[in-house]
Amino acid sequence: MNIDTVMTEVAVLLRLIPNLRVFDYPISTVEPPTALVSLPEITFDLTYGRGSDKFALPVLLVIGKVVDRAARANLAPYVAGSGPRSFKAALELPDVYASFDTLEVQTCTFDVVEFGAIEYLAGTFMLDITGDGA
Amino acid sequence: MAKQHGKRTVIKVGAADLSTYTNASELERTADSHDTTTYGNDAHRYNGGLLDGKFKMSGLYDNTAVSGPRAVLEPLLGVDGTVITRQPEGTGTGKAQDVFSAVLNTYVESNPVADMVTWSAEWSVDGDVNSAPQ
Repeated sequence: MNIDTVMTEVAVLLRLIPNLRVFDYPISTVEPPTALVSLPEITFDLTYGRGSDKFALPVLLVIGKVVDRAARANLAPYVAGSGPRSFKAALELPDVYASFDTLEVQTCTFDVVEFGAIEYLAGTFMLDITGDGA
Repeated sequence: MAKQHGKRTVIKVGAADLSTYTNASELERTADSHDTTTYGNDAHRYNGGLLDGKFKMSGLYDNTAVSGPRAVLEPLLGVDGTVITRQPEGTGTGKAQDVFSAVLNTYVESNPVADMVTWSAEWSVDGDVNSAPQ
């Protein structure tokens, strides 16, 4: 798998979510809701002969200012298991990816992140991606 | 001489190279022993007997038609004379190799809810193992 093409493919599908800004490169300021596809942790050699590798690919969803009362409610559709804004529904599509074999949205954890001295509520989705090693 | 990493292992079943679908394998070679202890001995005495062996392999399920593990292995259940080639250090002149005939006794596919589909196979070694180097 090539991290460049994998991250691009993930970003392309996330851009189909209505009104979500998606970046697969670092940015200095955000305008929520924004998704940032980050660099993965790579596990090489799941099988012999460079047959298969695994990526743990984090996607940061910045949903709104921490002090924004609506932030939690705005977050809910993205972490839902289904629906037009659901990350799981948008990304867990069988047989559509060209640069890898499977993708599972495994976890989502929540934190406060800072962009431009402003604190935002964010969720980090961890994507489990498996594909060819060669 | 040096230690060897398992990731270079090559496993062929007949003409099919299943290495890139395989992440564990084990060749177990055993021998019967016959107790020949008689009066006058202070310890058991044994004579060697028939050789025997088991071969186990397992890995990641892949639905590749014709050359994937399911396509290759499932039809071989109970079939005589499948030739298995095992190269524990990878391919190369002078490197170790075991070639033997075997009968596939068990083929298992496992589907955990939160992980990749996997497969495993267990063989009975039929006859001698040719351990001449490559």
